[in-house]
Amino acid sequence: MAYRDLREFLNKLEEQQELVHVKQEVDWNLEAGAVIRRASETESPAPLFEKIKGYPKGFRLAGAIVATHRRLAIALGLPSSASFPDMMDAYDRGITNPMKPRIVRTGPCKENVIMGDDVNLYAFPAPMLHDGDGGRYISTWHFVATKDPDTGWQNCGMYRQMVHNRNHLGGLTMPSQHMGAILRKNEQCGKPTEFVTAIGTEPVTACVAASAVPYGVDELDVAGGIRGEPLEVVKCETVDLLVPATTEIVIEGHVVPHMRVDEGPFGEFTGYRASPRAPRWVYRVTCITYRNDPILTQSCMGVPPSETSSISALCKSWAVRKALRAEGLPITDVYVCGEAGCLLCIVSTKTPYPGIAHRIASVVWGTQGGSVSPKVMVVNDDIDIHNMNEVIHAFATKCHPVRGTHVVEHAAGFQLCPYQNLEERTWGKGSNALYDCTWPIDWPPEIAVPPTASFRNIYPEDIQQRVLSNWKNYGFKDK
Amino acid sequence: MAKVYDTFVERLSDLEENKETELVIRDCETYEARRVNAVLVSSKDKLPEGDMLWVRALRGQKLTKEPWLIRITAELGSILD
Repeated sequence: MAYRDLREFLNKLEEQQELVHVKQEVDWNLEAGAVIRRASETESPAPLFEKIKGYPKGFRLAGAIVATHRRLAIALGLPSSASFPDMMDAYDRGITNPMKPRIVRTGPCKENVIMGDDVNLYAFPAPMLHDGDGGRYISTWHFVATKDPDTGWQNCGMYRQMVHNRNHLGGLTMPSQHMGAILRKNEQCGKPTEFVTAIGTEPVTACVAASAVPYGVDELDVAGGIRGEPLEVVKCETVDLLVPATTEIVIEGHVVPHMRVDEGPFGEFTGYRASPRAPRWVYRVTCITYRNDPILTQSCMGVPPSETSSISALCKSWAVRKALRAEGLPITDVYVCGEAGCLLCIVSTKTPYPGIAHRIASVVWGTQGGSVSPKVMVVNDDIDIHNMNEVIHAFATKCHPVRGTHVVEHAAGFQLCPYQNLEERTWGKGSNALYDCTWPIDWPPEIAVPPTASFRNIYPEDIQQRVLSNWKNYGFKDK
Repeated sequence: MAKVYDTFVERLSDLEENKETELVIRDCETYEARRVNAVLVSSKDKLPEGDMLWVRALRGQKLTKEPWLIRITAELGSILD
């Protein structure tokens, strides 16, 4: 059964030793961010801060709640030990069977309603996550919803929001992102764009908001599909948008047309602060509603692992796998590599004909998820692409520095790629690279392809079985 | 007690010492930014009564080992005005 709200999910994490209640007072100014960051990097349980310096009892902060594959599996309703392909299958079942949300009259998110001059974003313990960030970020694990003015489609995406003052937020939204397109449509007509930010939803909604759902598809429907039951949603107080009824904190207002104010920088999912402080969109807040004892959810992005290496990797891998399968390519697995900040896509495949790696790479770069993975590595189907030891070994030993590396210049760029120079970042210019780590099929296997000297490959089956069944008898603790 | 502010610049050389300058600073207690006129110096002995000003690059890293000093001469309002 799906989680009714964030609190049920946190209880489940606690049951599985995936949550730590931090009862000691923690400062919102860098300390909480440092804890979340270290918990992410060490794959420790998610911290739930229960006492935030300067904030009333009950105002809590939860970090890194799906920052690991284990916790993402739990969020998707799977065992924590579920494999990455199992999680992709669960995501696939949900996204191909969307369920419309059910509108209810009211819900816990309306327990407190603050309007007009009483609005105060500083009432919530928005943390200063990284030293040198542009400000306190209230929205880093959440969704922001806006409506397409032409179609009425409600888009939900994860767009960071920094606190400017009591009733203004600032944020980065790229033109290629769905909300970026909506904001520009309205701005061209001189109109503000209504928005709502939902912080602390049940876990699936935020995960879907962080994923690359196609334009025109309602993320709330997809979340219902993954949950296996519709979300219950309520209407906002001051804008014509819907949010899950059990959301912890709901911020309503409008994005101001023709207004940009410096926002950022922010420690990003690539593991760097690649984009500078710069003039960006401004959100004017008209209303805040929240649950009693609200929980502010936060991701402290940075060097993987983080939520990027869990949910972003998952949804991008799913999208690329779907596109490659649709082309009939004989791929066996896809992993948009979380360890690489999703800037690398690894594909394992059979190699029925020469040049298949090029076809695979072309399809990867043609998808929305794969377009921000400028590096593609194609390996033979005997490689477990979720085992980085095997992947690095294949790259180092099978990819010829000249014949195996194929560079594509003048590609669409990704502005957050840290290795790009300033001009490339500014203009979104890019280049791609394919690393073909498959054995060439025109090599005579007996002569040119060296056998792999691994336990799995170089011993007869009966010897492998004997060794495995006697492993503990030899004195080893486990397999 | 001296207050602590910071500011973001492209290059350290964008700042001029000992000259009234308009700039955006952040109060490091609230991280709310505002526009001010201020006199800046790079070492404490040049402005012993000044408040502290960390100078950061546009990507957030501190550009000096020690903070500069700042004396605010006029409040110019919010960056949102």
